[in-house]
Amino acid sequence: MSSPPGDVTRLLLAWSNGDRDALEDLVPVVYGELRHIAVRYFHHERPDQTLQATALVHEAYFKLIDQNHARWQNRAQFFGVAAQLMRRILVDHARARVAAKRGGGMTPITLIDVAGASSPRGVDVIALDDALTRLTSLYPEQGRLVELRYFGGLTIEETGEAMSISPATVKRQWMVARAWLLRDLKSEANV
Amino acid sequence: MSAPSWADLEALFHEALARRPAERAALLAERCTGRPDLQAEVDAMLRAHDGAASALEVPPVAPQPRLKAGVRLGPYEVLAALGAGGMGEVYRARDTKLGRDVAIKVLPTIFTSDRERLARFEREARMLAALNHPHIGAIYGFEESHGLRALVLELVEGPTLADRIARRAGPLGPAGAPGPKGPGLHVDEALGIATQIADALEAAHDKGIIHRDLKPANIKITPAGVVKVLDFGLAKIYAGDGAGPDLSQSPTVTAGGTRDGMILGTAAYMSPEQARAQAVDKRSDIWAFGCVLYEMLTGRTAFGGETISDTIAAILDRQVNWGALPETTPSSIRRLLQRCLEKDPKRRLHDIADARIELDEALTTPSPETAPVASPTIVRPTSQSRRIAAFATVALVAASLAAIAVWLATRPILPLPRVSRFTITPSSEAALTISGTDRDLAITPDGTRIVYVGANGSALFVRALDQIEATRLTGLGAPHGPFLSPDGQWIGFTDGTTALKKVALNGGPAVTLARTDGAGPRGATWGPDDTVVFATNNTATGLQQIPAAGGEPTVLTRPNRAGGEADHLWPEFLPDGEAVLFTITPTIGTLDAASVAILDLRTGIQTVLIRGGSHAHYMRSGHLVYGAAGTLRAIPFDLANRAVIGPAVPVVREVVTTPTGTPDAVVANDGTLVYVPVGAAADGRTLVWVDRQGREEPITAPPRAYAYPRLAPDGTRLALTITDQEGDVDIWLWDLVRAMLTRVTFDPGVDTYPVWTPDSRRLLFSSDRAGARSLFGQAADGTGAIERLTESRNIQNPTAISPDSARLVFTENVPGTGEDVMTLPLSGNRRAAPLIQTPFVERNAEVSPDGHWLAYQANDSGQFEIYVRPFPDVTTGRWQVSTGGGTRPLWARNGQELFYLAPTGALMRVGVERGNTWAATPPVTLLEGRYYAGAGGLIVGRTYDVSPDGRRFLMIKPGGGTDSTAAPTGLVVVQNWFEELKRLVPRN
Repeated sequence: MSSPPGDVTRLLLAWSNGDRDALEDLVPVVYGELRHIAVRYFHHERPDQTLQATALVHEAYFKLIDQNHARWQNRAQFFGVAAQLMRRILVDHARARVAAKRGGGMTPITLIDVAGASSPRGVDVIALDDALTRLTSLYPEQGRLVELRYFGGLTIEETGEAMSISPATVKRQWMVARAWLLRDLKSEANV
Repeated sequence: MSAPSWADLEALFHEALARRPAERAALLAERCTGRPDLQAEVDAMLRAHDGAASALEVPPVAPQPRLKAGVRLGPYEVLAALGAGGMGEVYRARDTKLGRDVAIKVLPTIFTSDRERLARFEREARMLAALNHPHIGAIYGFEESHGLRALVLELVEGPTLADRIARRAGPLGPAGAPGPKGPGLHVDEALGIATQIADALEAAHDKGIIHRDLKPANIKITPAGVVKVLDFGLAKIYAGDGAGPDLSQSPTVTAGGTRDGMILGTAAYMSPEQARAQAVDKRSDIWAFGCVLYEMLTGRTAFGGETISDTIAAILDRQVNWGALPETTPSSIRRLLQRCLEKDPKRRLHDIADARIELDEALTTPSPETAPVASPTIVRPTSQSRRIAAFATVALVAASLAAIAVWLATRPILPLPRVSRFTITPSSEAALTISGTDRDLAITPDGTRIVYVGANGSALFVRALDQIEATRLTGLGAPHGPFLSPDGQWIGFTDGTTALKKVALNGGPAVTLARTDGAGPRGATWGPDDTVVFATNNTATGLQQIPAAGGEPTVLTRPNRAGGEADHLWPEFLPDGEAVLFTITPTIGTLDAASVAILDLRTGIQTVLIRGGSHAHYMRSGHLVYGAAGTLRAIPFDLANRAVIGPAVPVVREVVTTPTGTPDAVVANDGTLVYVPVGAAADGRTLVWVDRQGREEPITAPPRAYAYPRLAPDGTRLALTITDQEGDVDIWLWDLVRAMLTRVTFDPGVDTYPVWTPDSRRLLFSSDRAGARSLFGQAADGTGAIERLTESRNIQNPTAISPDSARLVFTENVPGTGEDVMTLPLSGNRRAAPLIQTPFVERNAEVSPDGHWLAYQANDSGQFEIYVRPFPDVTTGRWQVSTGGGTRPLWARNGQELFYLAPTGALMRVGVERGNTWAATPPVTLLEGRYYAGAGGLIVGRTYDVSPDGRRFLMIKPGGGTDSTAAPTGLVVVQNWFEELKRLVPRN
């Protein structure tokens, strides 16, 4: 009835069983897939270049993970990995675009960040990445939380699971971290 | 000031947020007395929070609605968005042909791109469409347009069962945790609904279809009281083939919107075997059915928890709270529930038909069958007619969908995955030194640890890539050019210019393998046969080989001068140990005209592989990686045939290249690449006066890679060595009065170690313009011809002139005795003679202003110390001046002080006591070691000077990044680099 688990799934399983080498094999595949998908998105370049990290991650997940065999823990781990990779992909792409068209009225790559709004107000990915890096250097836990939520698209509950804290704590910390990032983004913009 | 703690930020932020805006300032002021930084930060955060109400919200799980009212999909006209689940947007649409409203569910983009998935989906959808049942939400078809694919489904009006239960029972807690205990649905109502669900399940199971995601949110009750089970089997479609647990979000097609839009959805209805990712069959549906029935009766979920992990734990381990069932629950139904919620699927109720029978009987049996209750019996009409009136007979499709993935926190925190590229920054104590000759890095073959030169070139550091701390290996002299043994247990390196040595990776004494007699090291490699092949800048020999245990070197190659070869350098073993890659440097031209060649160790035959490249390594991905023009390039390479099989491609553009042309990059066998990125280049040093209190006064000379500052005796000019971007080293003058930088030497080779004649008119220096570095002289103003003072086959570097101008003191690398102090009469026969010549290294000799003493550094004690001897008759005594190490001595102009550098780079001083014999006060630190003090094997000369009045020191401030101990250089680590390599440079 079910075929043996696919490579990626097998690696995920192995990793969740403590096999660290599996992660090494896993990351490039996931990274590659995310990039592959992201490139497709980037190709449909619209003026506002809005992009949804979570949609990419979902798509990658479906492509890579053999649903028959991956355990639910694996999904958490997948998204944890994917969140970090997603962030890298987006930032690398944004930086590359800036470098390639320096000074030419570049439209920053934005992420959709408003649920349900008809005109999303984006956040410049590069600026956010820098701000997040700063946040993480001061408060590593909270930086990870933001990364999982924002780039991995995990819900409050899932983030809580991933970090072993209660959803209430996630909500609380998320609010503070968000305010911190907004303040940081504003102050950097004025420099 | 350090940043506030997170706890402070969080507590204060939320406390302030809870107050009215007008009160916040006062609150902050009160809480933050003495902490203005905290107050300012929280204040700014609050303003940012208020000012950007919707920015930086988490991106929605569902994509933005792609359809708008009025859009047509085939015969369907979109009317409005209904809701969004993780698996697609749902819209209400009008079937213009049949005049009814339908639900349109847009499929995720994966379905438009993945043909195979789409084909599977269509097959499944057809099967489901064949399920024509009054209690199953129907699939009408699918549409494709606007680049989208969509399912057309029966639009069911009315609340979901979840809504119904919630209205009755009060809100459920988060993630289905037990809410306030309230009444569930009326028993009869619950049983009636359950019967219809069971009917639907039975019909589907008969056709071999499993729901996999049965839950109250998927069950609708029409205004007429008809139960419809929705999204039947759809999760399986999204999942793909097989019958395993589905990990997608259960689609929720409701007019009331979704519960929470969770990616992973709720775990509360997952069966134990689903939780364990075991095979799922219709019995999982039966479990879910039991959960739903329980919930209808009690108003609470059968298994719930504060977090999803708690829910899973409950499902796997805990018993249902049977006491929560209402007293009026028939005992047959209790038994039914127990059989449905049996954790072992083998012992669980097998057939939903059995459930339906029980339900029917319970509904038709009169009340006395129910369990006795304390309250007076209330006759409940349970007649058939009532049931029929309330609910039409429905078969229930209740194949429980495997619940979506959920998380269990058995592992405390998800391990931070190693992303493919990151930078590690050693702490300032363990800062990387860029020495300028060899690579400063090495990596163990398994890619787990790197070894690098640090602490101003006085130590090696070993650091595991996944850790922060580095282990310091000391007692190695002046180590550089580290290389690893194939088993990763030993680090080979060169100590200064004296010897090739090895030390165990875990530390220990250094073992000398071979002496290099003052020749500069130019690469070494450790082969699987336990031999070491190395090269030096002695052009008489090319590659040499010794056993890894040490011994006399065997010369493997000699450069073919006549054929245009200057030297054979930078060997690297091939994995089979039978051949060595190396670089042939040209007699004419720069490194860009070098060649990569291969030496077959058995036959001795040399073959050129690449022209215009150097520093080649073999990569296990099947490439050679080498340096060319400041970048790393890769070229496909066939190891068996030892041939290049494709064109070269640049792969890393931003690697620091040392002045000898060595790229500071290493790659392990596992494909981990580590390199020092540019931006760390040492081209930005500046000059500064520093007084004894440490106060600095910058000198306005432009930033350059300055090395050996030498104040003219008349104090007007400063002679300097500057290394430019191409590695060319020349002597320049900085006019302190007119603030002008002018160049003195112009040839493309190395011109260095300037020494002023006492009359400030001439500069003596060493240059390799005409062969091995020898001594030359030139008028400081550039007039007149350059005078050659010596012709030597050994490298010579001048360091001092006696005050009577009679003798030049210099260092020479003499084969057999290493670096020695020599003297050259500046008039008369001009024959150089050794002054201090021992098997150890002596260098940087300086003559005291009164001409009576010679200070120098020597390493016969195991590390460099400063010694003083009488001059010119050096044999009559020797005294040690420094304790704990010292290099680069310098006399004060009045002869009353002697300065030198401690191993940390700190400037030390001893006071000279008058008398016929040498006596000095104990060393005292004058300036901390934050100034450039040279590094490793290249810049070993004196890197500072003193003003004529002795009040100030001329120091070099380190450039950005590299040679600064205050701002340590980061190393870029790229893991799994082979993947990128294979992609960039495909091998056919």
